[in-house]
Amino acid sequence: MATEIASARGQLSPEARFLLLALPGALFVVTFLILPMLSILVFSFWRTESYNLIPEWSLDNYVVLFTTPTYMTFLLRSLLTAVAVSMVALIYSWPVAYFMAKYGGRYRLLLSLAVAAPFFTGVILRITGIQGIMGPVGLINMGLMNFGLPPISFLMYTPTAAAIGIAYLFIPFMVTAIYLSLLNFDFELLEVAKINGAKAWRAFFEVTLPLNWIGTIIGLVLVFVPALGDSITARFLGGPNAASFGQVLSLQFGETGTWALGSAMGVVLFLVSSFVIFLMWRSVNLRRSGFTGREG
Amino acid sequence: MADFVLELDRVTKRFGDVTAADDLSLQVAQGEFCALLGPSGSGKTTLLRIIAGLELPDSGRVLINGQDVTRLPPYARKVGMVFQNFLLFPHKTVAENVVFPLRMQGAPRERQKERLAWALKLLRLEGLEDRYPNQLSGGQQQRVALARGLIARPALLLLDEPLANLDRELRKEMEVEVRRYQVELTTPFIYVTHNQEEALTMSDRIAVMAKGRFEQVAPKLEVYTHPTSPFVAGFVGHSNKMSGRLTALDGSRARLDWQGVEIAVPSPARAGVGDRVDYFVKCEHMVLRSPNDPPEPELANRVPGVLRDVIFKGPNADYLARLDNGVELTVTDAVTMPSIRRDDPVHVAWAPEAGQCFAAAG
Repeated sequence: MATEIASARGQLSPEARFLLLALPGALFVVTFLILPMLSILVFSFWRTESYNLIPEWSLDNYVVLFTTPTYMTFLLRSLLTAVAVSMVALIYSWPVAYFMAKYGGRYRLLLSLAVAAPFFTGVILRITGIQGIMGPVGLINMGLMNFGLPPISFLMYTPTAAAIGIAYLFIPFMVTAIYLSLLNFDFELLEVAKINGAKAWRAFFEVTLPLNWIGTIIGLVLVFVPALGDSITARFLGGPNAASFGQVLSLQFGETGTWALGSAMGVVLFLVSSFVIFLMWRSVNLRRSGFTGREG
Repeated sequence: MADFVLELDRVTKRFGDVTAADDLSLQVAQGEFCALLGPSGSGKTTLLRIIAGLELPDSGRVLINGQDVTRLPPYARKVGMVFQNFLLFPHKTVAENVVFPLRMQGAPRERQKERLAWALKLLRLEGLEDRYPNQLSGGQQQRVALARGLIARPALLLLDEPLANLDRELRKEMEVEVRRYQVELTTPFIYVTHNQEEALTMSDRIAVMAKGRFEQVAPKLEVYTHPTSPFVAGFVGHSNKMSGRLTALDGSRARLDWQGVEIAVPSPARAGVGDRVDYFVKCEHMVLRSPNDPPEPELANRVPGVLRDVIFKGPNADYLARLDNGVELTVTDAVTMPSIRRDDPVHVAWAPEAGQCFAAAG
């Protein structure tokens, strides 16, 4: 009976249903990812003249990028910062996520919300907040000076300050990625490891880390990629010696109006990010991550 | 040289208001297979975890080969453990899982290889070395877990309901196998289970647990035939429980008024005339007789009733008899009583000493 009624109403064929459901996602990817990327790619081979894009094809932008030492300096600095920030975030996030998953109990949801709390305000506001702690008139240095101590200079408008800012912005992503992974982790396996002779650290590296490696890699990507492209943090916290690749990139689309060069920088940034993601993903062996390929 | 591989000395552990282990003492010797049998919540798993070092007792001591290990972490105790849900490392192959304890001990490579070969052979896992746990059947996974537990020659092996997740057929098979390994290795096994058949099939000795206490610790036959507490009498085997007041006491025999039926029982300890008692008789210690059958002096208890139902169980059957006082008794006997049919009048007969009588609690 039920099936007769359904067919009488003229239900969609399975193919039509599939297409209808796939459409919104596909539309989103094409409109907001592929098209802008393609246009950036095209622009990168054009040139700009007095704020206008001129469609004349050449490799000039790339030649400029790779032969001007300052651009390479910016890129290397950003790379170095991103690597350092990722490592700091990794070491900082693991205990946080571990604590939440293991001891969160019924407060887990609340703790996850606490991790997400910074996102209730805008990025600029949060960075300004960091400035209020680390800057020359910030909490730390004012406090030190009140006790007659010299201020900590590396906290004020230095690449280190910028890196701390980036780490602060993106650690929640890493914590969340590792935490979600740990939610599916069977902590009893640690007891097994201990009974079989593994001390706590050994058990962590033998069991916990490999079984949560995918989550950790996702966290690393979520921190590394935005850290590499960062412009705002460097601008607000970094001072004159911290100009990042992303910061210079954003200049091309603003003050200097050299869109074509900016586009080329965007392409380089994209390629470097993709390469690093590729390297990270190569470290994942699905079997070695306990991935069973079935619902588990 | 210590006499016992494992000694528990007045071990106590509380979780809030619940006493999971209440002043427990136990000794297990080399070569012994000891089952901890009890319903869920009886504290048997807690006791096993205390032996393993996964829980710290509130008081009491745990000794392994005479050494006090109460405060040693699990990895320093040299015990093996096998878990109900296998708990193999999903990201390691069979060989890597099995050899794990030796690697953690830092055993030389040669020895690791040699022991791995030994363990794989013992548990018939050859050829599966490079498989991952999710490519194995339940029985194979359990054998890998056993191999991992045994490879490092532990002082004793702890098993926490290791067969509970296997289907019936496989469980029967594994019961025999596990027992065979234990006999072969002479490593003492401490085997936690709520399944009395498992305990009876495999073990030498059974410690029956309830509410954090040992109800009875004895060779399995004795636990089965001579339960020393009403809990054990009711829990081990299938018994008919008859409750009532004592009406007469005469030496070793007493008389019990069981819902209007007068039966003879062995005299219980600590109970006098008028006291409430519980009398347990195993179903297979009762027999069915036709009302016309002549009385048999050794089956002093003989009560009339009607056969209500026959539950066929293969080699034998459960006969449910409703007595004239309205109570049902279950009689387990061979399936060779074609002359008796449902609704026929029958007599249920048994020897008073076949059962145990205890003063009722409370």
